[in-house]
Amino acid sequence: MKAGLPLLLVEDNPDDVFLFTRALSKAQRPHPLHVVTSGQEAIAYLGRTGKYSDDAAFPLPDLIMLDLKMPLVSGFEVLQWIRSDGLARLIPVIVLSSSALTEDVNRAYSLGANAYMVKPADTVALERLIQTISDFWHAGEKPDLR
Amino acid sequence: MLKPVLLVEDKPDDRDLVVRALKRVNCPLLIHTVATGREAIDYVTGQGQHSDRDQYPMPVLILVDNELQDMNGPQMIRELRQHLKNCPILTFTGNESPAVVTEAYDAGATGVLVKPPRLAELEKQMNAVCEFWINWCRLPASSPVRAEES
Repeated sequence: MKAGLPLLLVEDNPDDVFLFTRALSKAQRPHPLHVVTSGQEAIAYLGRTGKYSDDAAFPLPDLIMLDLKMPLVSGFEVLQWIRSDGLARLIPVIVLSSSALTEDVNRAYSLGANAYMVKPADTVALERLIQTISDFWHAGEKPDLR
Repeated sequence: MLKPVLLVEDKPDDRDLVVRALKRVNCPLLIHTVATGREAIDYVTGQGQHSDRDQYPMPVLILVDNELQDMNGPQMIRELRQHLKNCPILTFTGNESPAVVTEAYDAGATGVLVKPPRLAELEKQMNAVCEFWINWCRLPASSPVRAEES
Protein backbone atom coordinates (compact mmCIF):
# COMPACT_ATOMS: atom_id res chain seq x y z
CA MET A 1 0.00 0.00 0.00
CA LYS A 2 1.14 3.52 -0.75
CA ALA A 3 2.84 5.16 2.25
CA GLY A 4 0.94 7.77 4.18
CA LEU A 5 2.02 11.28 4.97
CA PRO A 6 5.20 11.83 7.02
CA LEU A 7 4.00 13.02 10.40
CA LEU A 8 5.55 15.02 13.19
CA LEU A 9 4.04 14.38 16.62
CA VAL A 10 4.66 17.08 19.23
CA GLU A 11 3.76 15.50 22.57
CA ASP A 12 5.46 15.69 25.97
CA ASN A 13 3.55 12.89 27.70
CA PRO A 14 5.36 9.57 27.13
CA ASP A 15 2.17 7.55 27.66
CA ASP A 16 0.37 9.57 25.00
CA VAL A 17 3.34 9.12 22.65
CA PHE A 18 3.18 5.37 23.21
CA LEU A 19 -0.58 5.21 22.63
CA PHE A 20 -0.40 7.37 19.50
CA THR A 21 2.48 5.39 18.03
CA ARG A 22 0.70 2.13 18.74
CA ALA A 23 -2.56 3.35 17.21
CA LEU A 24 -0.70 4.71 14.17
CA SER A 25 0.93 1.32 13.59
CA LYS A 26 -2.55 -0.13 13.14
CA ALA A 27 -3.60 2.40 10.49
CA GLN A 28 -4.33 1.05 7.03
CA ARG A 29 -1.37 2.85 5.50
CA PRO A 30 2.11 3.24 7.03
CA HIS A 31 3.01 6.77 8.08
CA PRO A 32 6.64 7.73 8.68
CA LEU A 33 6.61 9.30 12.12
CA HIS A 34 8.98 11.60 13.98
CA VAL A 35 8.31 12.55 17.58
CA VAL A 36 9.49 15.56 19.55
CA THR A 37 8.67 15.86 23.22
CA SER A 38 8.63 19.59 23.84
CA GLY A 39 7.65 22.85 22.25
CA GLN A 40 11.29 23.92 22.06
CA GLU A 41 12.23 20.73 20.23
CA ALA A 42 9.34 21.22 17.82
CA ILE A 43 10.61 24.70 16.94
CA ALA A 44 14.15 23.38 16.52
CA TYR A 45 12.91 20.53 14.31
CA LEU A 46 10.79 22.74 12.08
CA GLY A 47 13.36 25.55 12.12
CA ARG A 48 16.01 23.05 10.94
CA THR A 49 18.46 23.97 13.71
CA GLY A 50 21.07 21.84 15.47
CA LYS A 51 20.77 18.15 14.67
CA TYR A 52 17.52 18.84 12.81
CA SER A 53 19.38 20.53 9.99
CA ASP A 54 19.91 17.01 8.62
CA ASP A 55 17.06 16.85 6.09
CA ALA A 56 17.52 13.17 5.36
CA ALA A 57 17.30 12.11 9.00
CA PHE A 58 14.69 14.70 10.01
CA PRO A 59 12.58 15.58 6.97
CA LEU A 60 9.95 18.28 7.16
CA PRO A 61 6.59 16.61 7.82
CA ASP A 62 3.51 16.83 5.64
CA LEU A 63 1.33 17.02 8.72
CA ILE A 64 1.91 18.08 12.33
CA MET A 65 0.03 16.62 15.30
CA LEU A 66 0.39 19.12 18.12
CA ASP A 67 -0.36 18.82 21.81
CA LEU A 68 -1.26 22.05 23.58
CA LYS A 69 -0.41 21.65 27.22
CA MET A 70 3.36 21.46 27.34
CA PRO A 71 5.66 23.14 29.87
CA LEU A 72 7.83 26.15 29.00
CA VAL A 73 6.74 26.42 25.35
CA SER A 74 3.08 25.53 24.89
CA GLY A 75 1.39 24.21 21.78
CA PHE A 76 -0.16 27.66 21.25
CA GLU A 77 3.33 29.19 21.14
CA VAL A 78 4.55 26.50 18.77
CA LEU A 79 1.56 27.16 16.53
CA GLN A 80 2.23 30.88 16.54
CA TRP A 81 5.84 30.22 15.62
CA ILE A 82 4.92 27.79 12.83
CA ARG A 83 2.59 30.29 11.17
CA SER A 84 5.26 32.99 11.30
CA ASP A 85 8.05 30.80 9.92
CA GLY A 86 9.05 30.97 6.27
CA LEU A 87 9.49 27.26 5.62
CA ALA A 88 6.98 25.54 7.91
CA ARG A 89 4.13 28.05 7.88
CA LEU A 90 2.02 26.22 5.33
CA ILE A 91 2.29 22.76 6.92
CA PRO A 92 -1.18 21.63 8.08
CA VAL A 93 -1.38 21.43 11.86
CA ILE A 94 -3.88 19.28 13.72
CA VAL A 95 -4.12 20.10 17.40
CA LEU A 96 -4.56 16.89 19.38
CA SER A 97 -5.37 17.91 22.93
CA SER A 98 -7.04 16.56 26.03
CA SER A 99 -8.76 19.94 26.38
CA ALA A 100 -12.30 20.27 25.08
CA LEU A 101 -12.63 23.88 26.24
CA THR A 102 -14.23 26.16 23.67
CA GLU A 103 -11.68 28.87 24.43
CA ASP A 104 -8.81 26.49 23.61
CA VAL A 105 -10.51 25.38 20.39
CA ASN A 106 -11.14 28.94 19.25
CA ARG A 107 -7.67 30.09 20.25
CA ALA A 108 -6.04 27.25 18.32
CA TYR A 109 -7.96 28.10 15.17
CA SER A 110 -7.26 31.81 15.56
CA LEU A 111 -3.53 31.03 15.74
CA GLY A 112 -3.76 29.03 12.53
CA ALA A 113 -4.54 25.43 13.41
CA ASN A 114 -6.09 23.58 10.49
CA ALA A 115 -8.09 21.30 12.78
CA TYR A 116 -8.66 20.52 16.44
CA MET A 117 -9.25 17.06 17.85
CA VAL A 118 -9.80 15.97 21.43
CA LYS A 119 -7.76 12.94 22.47
CA PRO A 120 -10.16 10.02 22.92
CA ALA A 121 -10.19 8.24 26.26
CA ASP A 122 -9.97 4.73 24.90
CA THR A 123 -7.50 3.09 22.55
CA VAL A 124 -10.09 1.82 20.06
CA ALA A 125 -11.44 5.33 19.58
CA LEU A 126 -7.88 6.62 19.19
CA GLU A 127 -7.26 4.07 16.43
CA ARG A 128 -10.45 5.19 14.65
CA LEU A 129 -9.42 8.82 15.02
CA ILE A 130 -6.00 8.20 13.54
CA GLN A 131 -7.50 6.24 10.64
CA THR A 132 -9.87 9.17 10.01
CA ILE A 133 -6.94 11.60 10.01
CA SER A 134 -5.00 9.31 7.70
CA ASP A 135 -7.92 8.96 5.28
CA PHE A 136 -8.66 12.65 4.96
CA TRP A 137 -5.15 14.10 4.83
CA HIS A 138 -3.85 11.32 2.58
CA ALA A 139 -6.60 12.17 0.08
CA GLY A 140 -5.80 15.87 0.20
CA GLU A 141 -3.03 17.75 -1.54
CA LYS A 142 -0.06 19.14 0.33
CA PRO A 143 1.62 22.51 -0.14
CA ASP A 144 5.04 22.69 -1.72
CA LEU A 145 7.38 23.91 1.02
CA ARG A 146 10.45 24.48 -1.12
CA MET B 1 -28.34 18.39 15.14
CA LEU B 2 -27.65 19.17 11.48
CA LYS B 3 -24.33 20.84 10.71
CA PRO B 4 -24.59 23.58 8.06
CA VAL B 5 -22.16 23.20 5.17
CA LEU B 6 -21.81 25.76 2.38
CA LEU B 7 -20.84 24.49 -1.09
CA VAL B 8 -19.58 27.11 -3.55
CA GLU B 9 -19.67 25.57 -7.02
CA ASP B 10 -20.64 27.17 -10.32
CA LYS B 11 -20.73 24.04 -12.49
CA PRO B 12 -24.21 22.48 -12.05
CA ASP B 13 -23.05 18.92 -12.78
CA ASP B 14 -20.22 19.13 -10.26
CA ARG B 15 -22.52 20.73 -7.73
CA ASP B 16 -25.11 17.99 -8.12
CA LEU B 17 -22.50 15.26 -7.80
CA VAL B 18 -20.98 16.72 -4.63
CA VAL B 19 -24.41 17.24 -3.05
CA ARG B 20 -25.39 13.69 -3.99
CA ALA B 21 -22.16 12.33 -2.48
CA LEU B 22 -22.62 14.37 0.71
CA LYS B 23 -26.18 13.14 1.11
CA ARG B 24 -25.02 9.53 0.86
CA VAL B 25 -22.48 9.71 3.65
CA ASN B 26 -23.36 9.02 7.25
CA CYS B 27 -23.34 12.63 8.37
CA PRO B 28 -25.96 15.01 9.79
CA LEU B 29 -25.55 17.82 7.26
CA LEU B 30 -27.60 20.81 6.18
CA ILE B 31 -26.20 21.62 2.74
CA HIS B 32 -26.53 25.07 1.20
CA THR B 33 -25.18 25.80 -2.24
CA VAL B 34 -24.26 29.00 -4.02
CA ALA B 35 -22.99 29.32 -7.57
CA THR B 36 -20.63 32.30 -7.38
CA GLY B 37 -17.94 33.71 -5.16
CA ARG B 38 -19.97 36.88 -4.71
CA GLU B 39 -22.96 34.88 -3.49
CA ALA B 40 -20.69 33.07 -1.03
CA ILE B 41 -19.51 36.40 0.39
CA ASP B 42 -23.11 37.58 0.64
CA TYR B 43 -24.01 34.34 2.40
CA VAL B 44 -21.35 34.58 5.12
CA THR B 45 -21.88 38.32 5.61
CA GLY B 46 -25.65 37.97 5.76
CA GLN B 47 -26.46 40.20 2.79
CA GLY B 48 -29.87 40.24 1.12
CA GLN B 49 -31.84 37.01 1.55
CA HIS B 50 -28.95 35.53 3.50
CA SER B 51 -29.64 37.85 6.42
CA ASP B 52 -32.23 35.28 7.51
CA ARG B 53 -29.97 33.11 9.64
CA ASP B 54 -32.74 30.67 10.42
CA GLN B 55 -32.97 29.79 6.75
CA TYR B 56 -29.29 30.43 5.93
CA PRO B 57 -27.30 29.49 9.04
CA MET B 58 -23.61 30.24 9.28
CA PRO B 59 -21.69 27.25 7.93
CA VAL B 60 -19.34 25.20 10.08
CA LEU B 61 -17.50 24.07 6.95
CA ILE B 62 -17.14 25.61 3.50
CA LEU B 63 -16.33 23.68 0.30
CA VAL B 64 -15.15 25.95 -2.52
CA ASP B 65 -14.43 25.23 -6.15
CA ASN B 66 -10.98 26.64 -6.88
CA GLU B 67 -11.93 27.61 -10.44
CA LEU B 68 -15.06 29.74 -10.11
CA GLN B 69 -16.07 31.98 -13.02
CA ASP B 70 -16.38 35.24 -11.07
CA MET B 71 -13.27 34.89 -8.93
CA ASN B 72 -10.46 32.39 -8.59
CA GLY B 73 -10.01 30.19 -5.55
CA PRO B 74 -7.29 32.11 -3.72
CA GLN B 75 -9.15 35.40 -4.23
CA MET B 76 -12.33 33.75 -2.95
CA ILE B 77 -10.56 32.29 0.08
CA ARG B 78 -8.90 35.61 0.96
CA GLU B 79 -12.26 37.37 0.83
CA LEU B 80 -13.92 34.69 2.90
CA ARG B 81 -11.11 34.90 5.45
CA GLN B 82 -11.78 38.59 5.96
CA HIS B 83 -15.21 37.65 7.26
CA LEU B 84 -14.63 34.15 8.67
CA LYS B 85 -11.22 33.89 10.22
CA ASN B 86 -11.52 30.41 11.71
CA CYS B 87 -14.08 28.43 9.71
CA PRO B 88 -12.49 25.48 7.89
CA ILE B 89 -12.42 26.12 4.13
CA LEU B 90 -11.66 23.20 1.84
CA THR B 91 -10.99 23.99 -1.77
CA PHE B 92 -11.62 21.63 -4.68
CA THR B 93 -9.46 21.82 -7.72
CA GLY B 94 -9.10 20.01 -11.01
CA ASN B 95 -5.47 21.20 -11.12
CA GLU B 96 -3.15 19.39 -8.75
CA SER B 97 -0.03 21.30 -9.69
CA PRO B 98 2.08 22.19 -6.63
CA ALA B 99 1.85 25.91 -7.44
CA VAL B 100 -1.96 25.86 -7.44
CA VAL B 101 -2.11 23.84 -4.23
CA THR B 102 0.44 26.01 -2.44
CA GLU B 103 -1.32 29.18 -3.55
CA ALA B 104 -4.57 27.91 -2.05
CA TYR B 105 -2.92 27.18 1.31
CA ASP B 106 -1.16 30.53 1.20
CA ALA B 107 -4.49 32.25 0.69
CA GLY B 108 -5.87 30.58 3.82
CA ALA B 109 -7.35 27.28 2.68
CA THR B 110 -7.58 24.70 5.45
CA GLY B 111 -7.21 21.82 3.02
CA VAL B 112 -7.05 21.21 -0.74
CA LEU B 113 -8.81 18.35 -2.50
CA VAL B 114 -8.53 17.24 -6.09
CA LYS B 115 -11.83 16.53 -7.81
CA PRO B 116 -11.88 12.79 -8.46
CA PRO B 117 -12.96 11.54 -11.91
CA ARG B 118 -15.34 8.86 -10.68
CA LEU B 119 -18.44 9.08 -8.53
CA ALA B 120 -17.34 6.22 -6.27
CA GLU B 121 -14.12 8.09 -5.48
CA LEU B 122 -16.05 11.31 -4.85
CA GLU B 123 -18.25 9.52 -2.34
CA LYS B 124 -15.21 8.08 -0.64
CA GLN B 125 -13.67 11.55 -0.55
CA MET B 126 -16.82 13.13 0.88
CA ASN B 127 -17.01 10.37 3.45
CA ALA B 128 -13.45 11.18 4.53
CA VAL B 129 -14.34 14.91 4.66
CA CYS B 130 -17.40 14.35 6.81
CA GLU B 131 -15.82 11.77 9.06
CA PHE B 132 -12.90 14.08 9.78
CA TRP B 133 -14.56 17.51 9.89
CA ILE B 134 -18.06 16.74 11.13
CA ASN B 135 -17.82 13.56 13.17
CA TRP B 136 -14.43 14.03 14.81
CA CYS B 137 -13.17 17.59 14.56
CA ARG B 138 -13.94 20.29 17.12
CA LEU B 139 -15.00 23.24 15.05
CA PRO B 140 -14.48 26.87 15.99
CA ALA B 141 -17.24 29.29 16.85
CA SER B 142 -18.77 30.27 13.51
CA SER B 143 -19.62 33.87 14.23
CA PRO B 144 -18.27 36.19 11.52
CA VAL B 145 -15.55 38.75 12.16
CA ARG B 146 -17.08 42.15 12.69
CA ALA B 147 -15.79 44.88 10.38
CA GLU B 148 -14.06 46.70 13.24
CA GLU B 149 -12.17 43.54 14.28
CA SER B 150 -10.75 42.72 10.84
